[in-house]
Amino acid sequence: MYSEKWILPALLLLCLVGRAQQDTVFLRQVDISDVSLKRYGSTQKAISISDSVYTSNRTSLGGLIQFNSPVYIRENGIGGVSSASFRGTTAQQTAVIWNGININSQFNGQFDFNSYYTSDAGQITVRPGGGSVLFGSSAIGGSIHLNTTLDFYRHLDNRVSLSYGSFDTGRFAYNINASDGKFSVNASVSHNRSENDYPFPDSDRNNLNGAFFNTGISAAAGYRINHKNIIRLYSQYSSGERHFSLISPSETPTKYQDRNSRNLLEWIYGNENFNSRARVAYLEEQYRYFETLNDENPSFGLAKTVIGKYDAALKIRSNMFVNALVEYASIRGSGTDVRQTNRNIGSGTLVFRHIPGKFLYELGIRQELSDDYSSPVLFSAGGKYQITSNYSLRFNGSRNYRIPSFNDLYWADGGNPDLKPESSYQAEIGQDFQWKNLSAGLTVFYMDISDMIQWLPGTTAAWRPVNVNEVESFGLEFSGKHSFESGSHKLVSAVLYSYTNSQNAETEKQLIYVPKHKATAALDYTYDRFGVGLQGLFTGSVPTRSDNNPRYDLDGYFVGNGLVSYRFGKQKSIVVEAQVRNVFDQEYQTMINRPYPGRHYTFSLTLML
Amino acid sequence: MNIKKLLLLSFTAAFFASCSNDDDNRAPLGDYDNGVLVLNEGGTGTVTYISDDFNTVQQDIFYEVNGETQDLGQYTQSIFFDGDRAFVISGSNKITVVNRYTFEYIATIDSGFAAPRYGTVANGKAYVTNSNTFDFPATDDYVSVINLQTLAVVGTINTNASAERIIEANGKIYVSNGFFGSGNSITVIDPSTDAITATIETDFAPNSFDIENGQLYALCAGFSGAGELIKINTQNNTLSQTIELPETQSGLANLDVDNGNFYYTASGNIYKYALNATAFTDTAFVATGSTNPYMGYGFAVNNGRIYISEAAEDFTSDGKIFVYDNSNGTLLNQTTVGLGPNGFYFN
Repeated sequence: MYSEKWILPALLLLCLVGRAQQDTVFLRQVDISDVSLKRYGSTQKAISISDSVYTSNRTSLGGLIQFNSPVYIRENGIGGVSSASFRGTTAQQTAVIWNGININSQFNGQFDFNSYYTSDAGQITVRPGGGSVLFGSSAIGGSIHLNTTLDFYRHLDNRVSLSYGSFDTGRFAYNINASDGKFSVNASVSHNRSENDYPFPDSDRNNLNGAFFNTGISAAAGYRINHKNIIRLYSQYSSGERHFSLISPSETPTKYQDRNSRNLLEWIYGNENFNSRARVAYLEEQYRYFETLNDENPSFGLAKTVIGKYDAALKIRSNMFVNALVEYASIRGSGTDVRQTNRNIGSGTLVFRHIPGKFLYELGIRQELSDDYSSPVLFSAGGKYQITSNYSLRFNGSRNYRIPSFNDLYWADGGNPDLKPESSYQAEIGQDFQWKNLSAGLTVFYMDISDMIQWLPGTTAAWRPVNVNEVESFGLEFSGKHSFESGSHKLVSAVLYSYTNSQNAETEKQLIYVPKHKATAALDYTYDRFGVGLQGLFTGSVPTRSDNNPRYDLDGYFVGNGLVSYRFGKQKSIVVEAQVRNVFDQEYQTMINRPYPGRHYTFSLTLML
Repeated sequence: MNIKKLLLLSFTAAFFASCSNDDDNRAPLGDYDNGVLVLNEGGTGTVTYISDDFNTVQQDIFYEVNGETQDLGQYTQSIFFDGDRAFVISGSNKITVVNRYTFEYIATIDSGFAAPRYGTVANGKAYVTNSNTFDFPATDDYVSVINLQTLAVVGTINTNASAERIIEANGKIYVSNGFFGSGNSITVIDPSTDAITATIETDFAPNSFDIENGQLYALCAGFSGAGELIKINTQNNTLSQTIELPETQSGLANLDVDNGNFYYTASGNIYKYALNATAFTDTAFVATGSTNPYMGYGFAVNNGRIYISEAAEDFTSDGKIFVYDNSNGTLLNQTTVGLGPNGFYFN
């Protein structure tokens, strides 16, 4: 499971993309579908978190992002609703991109990290900063990319993984990854379940009504027709049920079921000077909410999305590229709480990239047309200057947006069809340093978001969303990474720190659930058959009230996790692993009244065939 | 108008006089006597104490007295009293019983409720309305009956209509069937049999009750638009009077009948009319100037003062209360309280 087959492509293609590789990557038929992420990675920093030992048996996607990126994940305890705040923005202002397709909920505009069950995400990349030109709505604070890899070298890898841990938490996963050179498959099945009845630290209470189970199936297949044409199909289906844990033991227990299916078909044609991708996607998003456990008429929502995308990239000169992209999406939403509605969105994007020498720059523009809101013209301009072989400077400025969600526009009691998209201007300057095995980056950013949508009490309905707030944010992100290898010893260490000042422009108060300080540190050590992983997370105090009344702040905390593993067998194909999470038994919360468990354990056995 | 003002003044003076006679020589019964308790609905509910002279303001007195081992629960909706005991109703299906003057914890009642709302006491029992699943039209709302000795829920009475405000008048229990401007009746329960004995139809949704001189008054209005004040004869449970209020007012709520006058709020204004008035012009007694729809989230008139609360519009920060003189409408005090202040209770 420390398979270099997984790690190498990620390392090569993301963090450490040198200038020399950039021009070739531009038109290469890269191994993932989210091609924009790779083509335009260089003027903003992307953080790959695929190469941590923790990715192999991650306990949750949200937890992985929390411990390895500047994104602050707010979670209603383990398994509960989990959302992101990136660079001091709201949950709707982080885009989650699955193989190049935005999968934020059509209903509430956010992504629930505890409803993503599949175990196939070969690459997880966190990209801070505005990216709406490339990734569309919600890419204001940043974007999180979940990519399935399809490799065309001859191989056959099977992996079976079983794990069991505290609070009666069990997991089964099977993956197959194979290719005969022409045909490639990457498929997985996983099932998770947990009683999730953990005791709250420093309390005599337990997490009540927190049980969950879910199943995810994922299959990706690629066929290389000839050296110029590839067809790829990505499919994912997941279904889960979560009981929503109680704040007060006497509360009425509720539960929530969700079902998602995501399908993407793409045809890629490429030669030396031209690359064309035609993509069709069909997504289905469904939830059912049970106000009581035996609710016979649960509220529900169902959104069906069809997307067609065409992307043509042209090499004008050896160092000059242009990319044109047209996209059309048709979404049909229905449910108990929203008026049934179709919405159609079309967009055109043009991106230009030029590498005159040590300096490279990228310009992008996007216009979207929709039948129910008017969109601003989005743009992005960025540059990178390689001052010395180990020092570079980059800058990026962009305008980004977040479209009103179905709930915002069509909520039966209060939806406001006159909403405008939220929009933001953003600027950042960064510098990257690379010396032998040591790399470091420092980015400072400024962001101004206007027309923020907020639900406020109304006179015709209890609540009604309006474009009311303006937010100004600034901050910095520091990242450092060092890797060391000697004989069978391999040591990788990484640190991240982010400072985020994100204020409501009118009240000059920090936005709720945005910590000013967040830092993570990770250390992975492997020696022959033996592996150790350590993770630390520090979060400063977090306001939970818009007047920043410190009485209700969540306290700052430091949480540590540890992992040891050993590989048995001639082929080192049996891996036994033990994880301890929250080693110091710290009492902490990321949402008020939603404690996390104290020290707890997971044991796993993985067979690689 | 001048005569009316004069009348008001004399009423107020009489009221002051009578009150001070009662209270002068009484020693305080606890730290939270001689003041107002403001209930803040939460997140986790809190109670703010403000002394009558406004010199003492204490937030979250339940926590101050009882520490972390207990809490009032989420979405504290209302308080009712039985002698020295205060019953704090939480939307998370529990009632916390405390001493009303010391706020010392006595007990928790946490079964027999489903989204409980308001309570009252009659015939040695407490009656608490439950919204249950909040379905509409309501079919599953009910009233829980609590034995005040054992503090156990001993019965339920299905109302077959929204069960919201509840009040005891003339030995009977009256339940308003209005909910956010919908519903148009009042259910009458006989506390000796715990059976429904009558249903009184209303033109609009009843949203608040008060009693004056043994007469029951109810303010009835839609979520927006006009409303009326009705007077119910508690002998035979019939409407004895209907007062149509100005059609230009909207979102009428928070009836309080006090000393021959009735008060209510609408669109951030406080209205005050004499019960025997015959004409009603749309003139605010106090225009608070607030455009926040949550101005008037809680309201009460007591002892010559009008208390009104304003929950923060985003509902994620502390609210405020404002106290006005009920004779001339001058602002006497304003104080920041907790999240979502929804009611005033006087010690």
